[in-house]
Amino acid sequence: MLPTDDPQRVHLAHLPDFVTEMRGYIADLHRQTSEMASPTRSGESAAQAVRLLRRLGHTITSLAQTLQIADIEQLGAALDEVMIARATAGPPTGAIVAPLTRLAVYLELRVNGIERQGRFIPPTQEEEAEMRRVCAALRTYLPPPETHAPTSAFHLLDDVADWEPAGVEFQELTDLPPESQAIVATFLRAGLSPDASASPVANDHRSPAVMETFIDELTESIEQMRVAIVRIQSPQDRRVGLQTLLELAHRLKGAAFTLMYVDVSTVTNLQESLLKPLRLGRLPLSNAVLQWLIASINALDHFLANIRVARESHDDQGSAQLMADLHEQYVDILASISTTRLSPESDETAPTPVATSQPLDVPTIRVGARQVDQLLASIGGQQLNRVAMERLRAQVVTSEEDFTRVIARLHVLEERLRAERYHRLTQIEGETRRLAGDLPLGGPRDPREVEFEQWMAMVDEVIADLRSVDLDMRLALNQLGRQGEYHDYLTEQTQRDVLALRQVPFSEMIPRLQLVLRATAIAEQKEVSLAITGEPIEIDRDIQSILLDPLAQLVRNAIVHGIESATERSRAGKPSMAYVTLRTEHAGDMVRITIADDGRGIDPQHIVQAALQTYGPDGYPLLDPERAAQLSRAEIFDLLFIPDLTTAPSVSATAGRGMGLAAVKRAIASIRGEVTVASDLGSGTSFTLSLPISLGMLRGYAMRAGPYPYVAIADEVVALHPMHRAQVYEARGKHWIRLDDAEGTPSSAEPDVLHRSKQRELPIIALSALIDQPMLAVEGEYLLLVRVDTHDYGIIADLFPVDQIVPEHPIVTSSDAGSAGAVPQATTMITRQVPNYLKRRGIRYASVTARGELMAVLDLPMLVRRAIASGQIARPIFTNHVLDTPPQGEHILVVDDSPSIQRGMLQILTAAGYTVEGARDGYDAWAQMRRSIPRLVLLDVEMPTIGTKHATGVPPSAERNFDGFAVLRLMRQHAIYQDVPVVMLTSRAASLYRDQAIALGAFEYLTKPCPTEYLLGVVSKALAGRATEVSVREAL
Amino acid sequence: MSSPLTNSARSPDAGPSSLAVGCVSFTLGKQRWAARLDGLRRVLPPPEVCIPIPHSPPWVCGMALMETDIVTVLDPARFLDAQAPASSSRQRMVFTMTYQDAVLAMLVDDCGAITAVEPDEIVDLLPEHRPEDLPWLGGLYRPRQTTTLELRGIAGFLDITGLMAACVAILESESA
Repeated sequence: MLPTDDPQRVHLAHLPDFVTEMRGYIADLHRQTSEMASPTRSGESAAQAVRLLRRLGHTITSLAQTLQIADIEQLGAALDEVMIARATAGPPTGAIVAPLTRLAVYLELRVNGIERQGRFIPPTQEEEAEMRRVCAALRTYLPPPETHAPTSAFHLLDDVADWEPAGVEFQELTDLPPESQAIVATFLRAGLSPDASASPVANDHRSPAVMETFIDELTESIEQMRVAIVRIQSPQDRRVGLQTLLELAHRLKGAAFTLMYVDVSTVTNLQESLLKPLRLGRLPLSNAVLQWLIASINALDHFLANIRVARESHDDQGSAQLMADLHEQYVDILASISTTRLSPESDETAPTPVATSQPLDVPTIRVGARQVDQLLASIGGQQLNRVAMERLRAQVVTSEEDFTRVIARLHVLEERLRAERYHRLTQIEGETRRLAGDLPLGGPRDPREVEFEQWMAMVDEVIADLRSVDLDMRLALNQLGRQGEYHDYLTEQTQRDVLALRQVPFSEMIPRLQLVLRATAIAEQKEVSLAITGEPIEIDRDIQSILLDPLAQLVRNAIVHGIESATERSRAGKPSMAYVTLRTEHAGDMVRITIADDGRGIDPQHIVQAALQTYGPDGYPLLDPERAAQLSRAEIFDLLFIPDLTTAPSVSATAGRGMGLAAVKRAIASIRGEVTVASDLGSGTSFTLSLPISLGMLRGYAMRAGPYPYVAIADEVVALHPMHRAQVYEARGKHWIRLDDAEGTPSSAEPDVLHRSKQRELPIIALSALIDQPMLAVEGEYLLLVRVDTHDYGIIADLFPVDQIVPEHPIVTSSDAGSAGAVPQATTMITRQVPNYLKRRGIRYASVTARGELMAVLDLPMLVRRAIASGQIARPIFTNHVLDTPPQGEHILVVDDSPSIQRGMLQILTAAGYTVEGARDGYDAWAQMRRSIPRLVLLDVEMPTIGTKHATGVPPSAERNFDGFAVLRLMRQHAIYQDVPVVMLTSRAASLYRDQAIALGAFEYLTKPCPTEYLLGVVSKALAGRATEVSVREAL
Repeated sequence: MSSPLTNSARSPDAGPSSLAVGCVSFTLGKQRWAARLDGLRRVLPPPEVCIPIPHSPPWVCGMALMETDIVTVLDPARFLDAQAPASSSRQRMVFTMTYQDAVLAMLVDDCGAITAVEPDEIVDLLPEHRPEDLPWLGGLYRPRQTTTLELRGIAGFLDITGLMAACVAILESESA
């Protein structure tokens, strides 16, 4: 609920969201209204529209209620009410479109007014009157009283379901208002007692049409609930999953109650009771709760099976026990909450219990990952500061050494002065003797000599003092050095400890995988057990959150595809109990997780066949027979990760879409991991995931764009080459490089190996251009190959060595980039998080060098995708096309089924100095273009196929009617023809066709008859448009 | 420019009360503004190096390391399309502030003294009352008895948090 101390301020903060949300709902309202108005609407689509409108009404009511906008709330409620009633009484007539449209218009007016005023203004008198009229008009579509569910219990139950405690504490059902308690108690009793639930059989609402809808709804809801159950196990998706479950349970409950399926209604009611506090975070998602939710969904499935055969939901032996178990477990969960939260001995300020088995005497606190990152960043700052201090200490050591030398010089000076003085005195003494006739000297000493001796004694003292000070300084500096080393040790320890905070035991994920395994095994009717082997490992918390879905997918795959049916296993001499083995181990600075099954294994030839018969987005088969013969076993298994490739014979709810493994690969790549597959026919299949231990560190290449330092994540760079300028050429306005794979092909065990040959032509881009910085030329010392969506792109950049502070090496590590002749090595770097708005612009992390220099860690795949979309970098040419790349011709290709027009064009264009060739239909045109790339194509639209379709090179997936538009579309899908100008010349004059042609990339759309001068002008202009471009072959 | 630490020319007799609000004046383009100190974290010289952020609007200077924070540096003068100041001798400073757990820095052309004004000298404007062309005008300066010299001629109090929020919203809404 919103705080009430300053409602206006709080409400205003919600205004932009309100406007945005309402506009979305209004658009939905219009859509569903159109559906209702459709003369061809089916009963099913009308029922679906009713369901959606009902949901819309409910959502609008909730939103308006929260923001206290009474008129919109009333309208939402009216819509909700009408559609709830219509859900059971059948869709209203098409005439309801009028009040629905009025409703949408009214809402639009109100939202616009609120947005314009910047505050939640009340409706004007006229608006209010209109609102009442719309309400009244809507209510006329309420079904007659006898078909409208009139039970007050229905509404009371809704009240119970919608009721939320006013305070912040979760309250169990016993805290409900007395009247609601009575209702719920009735339901619980009904659920427990077969006799009680058996009574309300006769039900007027159960017409065949309604029942059909209800069974569909129940089936669909159960399916969606199962999906949501998986989602709630991922922390990232938990909120959405819980919300979905809650909505499904609520919706189902109402329908079930109306149709008097008390078991369904009771289960969904219990589901709601748990889901609400779960969603609000007042109840932790413990294993017990999760298992109960799964059991409740299974119970619904059980009831559905009964309902399908026109029985009561509880008409079998198992139902009563099922309900009793379910209720018992539910009560246990409530009791555990009650013990924890409501016990008189418990401290009210005690932290919320968590679902882990933490010893009671160890106090725990929750620390957000962001706080851990901040702590890590602070330690990084301390380390930087420590490096600066160490440099200062080194300076002081140098100064102290200078100081020692100065003292020594002073001492020497003093000695010299004494010697000089002695020498002078000796001279004076000799002179005096000579003057005195060698008489012995006597008498008092010269006072100046005495004074000098005194001064010299003082100088001696000063020198001694300086030496003492110097010694103290040296001792202090040594001590400082030792303390510094100890500080490094402590900082390193702290850093390790903080990094460890991000780590969680992998074993935390196992119960969830077990649940997935159990649910899938039940659905597939297979006996499967999970075996855990290997050593205990810890993984980064962020990795854990991403890892759950891929692991769940692999477990499901193992059961659905890998493990045979009981009959098959028996026939193969295998035990009926199958095993999915989960093995975890350390592998250097990575961890390895293997999921293996003891099932039928995968036949490599089966995969090859599937790849030969599956067409990629370019319209060509994923594999050609020649290449298939060259593939190694590992390469064949890697084909499984290509999107769209499936070996399943048919599409089912759990498999067959060919997207599962591709998604697994994508998810693992996103956490800088790798996945490989191995299989033995008859013995089983294993998928091995290699993952980094922590996301707090990465290995990267430091590179510069102008003066600015950036980092490429090493895992995203599939190969690194020194640049050879001779390999770069310009074609079709883009830069390319021709690479000999023998020079440094990335791992061959990659999906795009299919499109590889000895030589590749790759689109390239300078780092500066990629990040939208001024660039004078494509320059740089190194070429980094980055893989994006299975294709490689080249990025040209200057790499530089960088010192980094990493915990493994207490102070700094250096990369050896730039050393003579060596290919730069990646450096381990500590990453620091950046805000989302920087991530959205292609900066993933930041890293700070030991010298305190900030570097931006780039999201190169995202930036490359953006460059492709904006046309900065070309789409790659598939290698098999490159091998077939026809030479660049000098001719204009005239494609027209009419020989006379072809002839006419030949005369006009030849007279103008062009070389012309003709094609009689789309297939012929394509075949000719495969032999030689024309400078320009003059293309008709309507062309019946005159010649043969075979051996023309037109992919089988091309449109059946291979007319001018189809030719143009196919040309634009292929890089080598993308920039060939196409002038459409057709008798179809409608602007619709013209717009279509221009949208497809035609240079101009001319209609027959076209004046010669104008035609030549267009041709000339089209050719001039690409005059500056250099063809591939010319460049080569 | 006076030092940011010197106080204003307020009469010694009219010393700031305990309720006085700390604020700082600064220049954006040709316009002089003030801002409350409570929205600010530090006033620092601009970073030596700002790493450009790919495909960002021209008012995003880049990211920089300031003390130990990684900061996104924004140029509100360009965001507001303020005209360049008449004088070319500008002494730029940055105001840093925390917004949504990240540190933002706002580049200003010139930073005046940190001074104190009485609460009733600031006329706060609710968002709905702000001029359409200047939605970040958070308040007006209404000198009570003696004009604080530093605030003489300011256009008003800029709602820096609102301004930064608008910048961040644009950055978040448009992906690269």
